Amino acid sequence: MSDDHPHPMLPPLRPEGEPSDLALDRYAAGELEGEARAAVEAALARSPATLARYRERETAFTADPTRPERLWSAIERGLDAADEAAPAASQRAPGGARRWLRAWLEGAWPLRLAALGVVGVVAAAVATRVEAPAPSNRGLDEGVRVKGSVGLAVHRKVDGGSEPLLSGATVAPGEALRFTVDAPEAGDLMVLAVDPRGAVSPVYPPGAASSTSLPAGRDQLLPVAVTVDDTPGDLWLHAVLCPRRFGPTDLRVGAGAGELVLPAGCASAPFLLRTAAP
Amino acid sequence: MRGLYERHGAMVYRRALAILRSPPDAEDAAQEVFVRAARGLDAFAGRSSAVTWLYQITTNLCLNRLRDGRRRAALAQERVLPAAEVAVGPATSPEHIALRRVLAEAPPEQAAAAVYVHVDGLSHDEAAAILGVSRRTVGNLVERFGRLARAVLAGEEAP
Repeated sequence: MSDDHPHPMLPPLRPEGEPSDLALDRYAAGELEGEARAAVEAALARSPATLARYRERETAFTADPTRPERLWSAIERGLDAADEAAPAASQRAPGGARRWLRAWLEGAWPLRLAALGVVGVVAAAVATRVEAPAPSNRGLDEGVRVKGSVGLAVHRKVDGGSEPLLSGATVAPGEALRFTVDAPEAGDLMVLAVDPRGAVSPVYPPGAASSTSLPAGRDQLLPVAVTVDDTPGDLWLHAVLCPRRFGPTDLRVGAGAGELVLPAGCASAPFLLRTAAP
Repeated sequence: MRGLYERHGAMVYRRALAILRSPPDAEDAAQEVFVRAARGLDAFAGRSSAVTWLYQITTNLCLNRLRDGRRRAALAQERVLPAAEVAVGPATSPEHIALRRVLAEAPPEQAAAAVYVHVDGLSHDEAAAILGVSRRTVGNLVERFGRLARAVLAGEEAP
């Protein structure tokens, strides 16, 4: 085990020089070239364990021979359900979320937003700050922090469309971001930004003092876009879903900007963005 | 889309299984990964490796599911099951059970770094590239994850 292994009860680290799963997967997909490809081929040639690991990559998937087709059928149903569910959601374009999102991905999105009659672009996530409330138990139930499985995904606009970001990603000033939310059940939603000083800013609804209703569903594209401002540092986003109307003053920042203490019955999903210096 | 699935479906399922442990949960997650991928397919357009892109989507989605409050409760009760009870895979060891408990409690960026290092076996350099941070940052995230692991797993004996 490596000297820098963080805990004896966690899985051992990959021995130095042995290709990672990612390297094997990229090799199998034909994505590696040059030295990277040669390194994987050398490891496969010298290490029976690596070769076995490479050959077993599909074992779990095909252990049930019906799984590949069953999963594909599920994916098709998921794509169809996304199309069908979208008109029922508020502020959706005719034709469903997939088409709406695709339109955004294909560009000219501010015009598309205007044409759909939805909320316009917010200038910056930190444009309208409200101070984080002082620690208080008013309306809060300490210890009840998460319920349900609300999810928040952030997408960055790129040429010709968008790309999903991983929490912890670095973004640059001027970049445009949009958000999709998974809501396990209907409720009231706010997306809030918390900067390193603990200042809380409403991102969605933009500039609002209280939440807005959201139907149950996955990958619900929020009708708001945010431009990253030039303040470097970490910015935590929190999608908060509650069974009733609420506002920023019903929440408080926990031990760090990545934690919110929520009213009872509420759920949240955090997402970290790191803003690079301009 | 079918082509993307045929090329990478096994990989996405295996990664989801490694993180979530349950074959039904892994199938459900893999379905969602490809639905999300379909929405961003035009945007992807070869900006980076398709494998890396799908790794990122799978990691985000599975970590969100691990943080689900109901799943946290189940994780607390999780035990080492006989091999016959679960699908073949690397995710059934006591170490991986412990890992999932800590992942469910960890901040997102620590959890993502830990998945890449402990589940996927990435080097700190590889994890830094996929996370878009420095190698040193990955080291710090893994170290902080280790401290959290000691706190979460305190009182549990090493296997």
